[in-house]
Amino acid sequence: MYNKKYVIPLILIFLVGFFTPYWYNAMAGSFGYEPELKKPAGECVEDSKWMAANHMLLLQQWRTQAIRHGAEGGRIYHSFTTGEEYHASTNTCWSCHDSKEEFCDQCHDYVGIHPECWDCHYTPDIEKPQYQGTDSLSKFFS
Amino acid sequence: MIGVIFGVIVPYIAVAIFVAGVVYRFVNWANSAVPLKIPTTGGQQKSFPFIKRTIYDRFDSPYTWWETVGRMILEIFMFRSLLKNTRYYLDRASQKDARWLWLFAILFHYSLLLVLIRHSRFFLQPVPEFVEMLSEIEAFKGVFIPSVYISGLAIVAGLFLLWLRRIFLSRERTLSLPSDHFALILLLAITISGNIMRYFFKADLAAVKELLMNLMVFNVGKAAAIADSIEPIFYIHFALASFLLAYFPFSKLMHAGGVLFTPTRNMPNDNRAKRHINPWDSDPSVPILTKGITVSGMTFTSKKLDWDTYYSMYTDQLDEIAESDYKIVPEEL
Repeated sequence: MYNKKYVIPLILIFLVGFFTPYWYNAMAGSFGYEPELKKPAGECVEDSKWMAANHMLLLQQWRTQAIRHGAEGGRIYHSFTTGEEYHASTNTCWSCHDSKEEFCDQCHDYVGIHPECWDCHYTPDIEKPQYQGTDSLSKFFS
Repeated sequence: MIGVIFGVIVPYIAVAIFVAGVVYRFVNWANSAVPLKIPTTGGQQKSFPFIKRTIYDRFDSPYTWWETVGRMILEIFMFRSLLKNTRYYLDRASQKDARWLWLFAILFHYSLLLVLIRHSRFFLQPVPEFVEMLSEIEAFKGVFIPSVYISGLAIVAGLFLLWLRRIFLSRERTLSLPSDHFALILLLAITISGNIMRYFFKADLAAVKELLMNLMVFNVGKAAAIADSIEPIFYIHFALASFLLAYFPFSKLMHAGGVLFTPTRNMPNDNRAKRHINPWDSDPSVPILTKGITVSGMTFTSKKLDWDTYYSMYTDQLDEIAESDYKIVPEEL
C-alpha cells in the first residue's frame, strides 16, 4: 500500500465519521433511548397512531376552521374515528394531555423540533399570574 | 412484513456493504501505483526567481506540500476545476462560458450536506444544538407552517438541473452513460420521496427515530415491532436510501472519496526539482531506456538508432537546420 501515512488516517476518519452516532450516543449515555409519554386521561379525537403522524395537520385544519368559519359552526369537529363531536380548540387537547412537558415535548425534543405554536398559545405548563398584591407583581415586571 | 424487510434487514445489509465497500475502494486505490507524475496544471509553475507567480498560480500549479493541500481543500469545498468548464471551438478564438455547471454542482452538493446534517437528528440523542439551529435558520422558522426547509427543495432543483443538462445538451447526452442517469434518478427519487413524506403524507418521526435507535444497538426484535407500525411512505424513502448506500461504493458517486486519490490533483508540480520514482521500477538508479521493461519474463529494450542511420533518414531537414546556424551533432548519452 502506497502513502500509508495518509490513507490509514483517512480510513480511520471515515469510520469515526460514519459511526458518529455510536460514540456520540455512548458519550451521552442514550443508547436505545425512547421517549416516555404520560398516559392521557381520555380517548383521543382520532386514532392515536394516526395522530402521532398527523396531529399538526389536524391542528392546522382546526385553526383554519376556527378563523375562517368559526361563526358558521367551523369550531365543531366530527371525529372520523368515533364520529363524536368535539370543540376544535387546543383546549380540547389540554383537557386530557395536562402536561406539555411530559407529553408533547417528549417526542418533539426526541426528533429535535420546537414548534413555534407555544410561543403565543396557551399550554398548561404556563404559570398563570394571579394577583397577590403589588409585591408579587415584581416577579413579572421589573 | 414489509417493515421487517425494508426497516431491519435491508438497512443492515446496506450499511455493511457501504462501510466494507468504501474501505475496500480506499485500500484498492492506495494499492495502485502511480508510475508517472501527472498533475494537471493551469498556472505558471515554479521556475526562476524572476518569473513571478500569483496566488492563482500557486493553487493551479502547486509546488510545495502546503500549496497542494490548499489546492485539494479548494477543490473539495469550492469545486474550482468546474470553473474551468469553458467550451472552446475549433477556430480556437471563440469560446462559450459553461460555468453554470459549477453553480448547479455547488447547489446540489451543499444542499446535500445540509440535508445530511439535518438527518443526523434521527441518529443522535440528544439532538445537537447546532443541528436544531441550522434547521431553524434554513427554514426561516415561523414563516411557513410546517417549516419549509430550503435545502430540501434546493437539492431537488439542483439534481433536476444536473439531469436536464445531461438530457438536453447534445454533447453531454452523448457522453452520458446509464450509470450517470441512474445515480441522478436514484437521488431524485430519494429527495422527492423525502419531500413528499415531509409535506404531504406524514410519517411518525418519533417512531422512525425509535426504529433507528433500536437498529443501532441491534435490538432487532423491538425494531421489527416498531418497523411494522410505520407508514409505507417512509419505506419508499428509507429503502431507496438503503439502495443508494449499497450502490455508493461501486458507482461514480464514489468520487466523494476518489477526489482524494486523484493523482492529477493531489501531486505537487515539482517534477523538475524532485525525481518521481516509479514504484514499479525494480532499480531506479539504472535508466529505463538502458534497462528495458520486463513484462511476464520478457524484457523489451528500446532499439538504439545510431547516428548514421538517423542522419540518412532525416538528411534534408538536418541540413536545412544546419544552414540557419545551428550545430548538428549526435547526442551524447
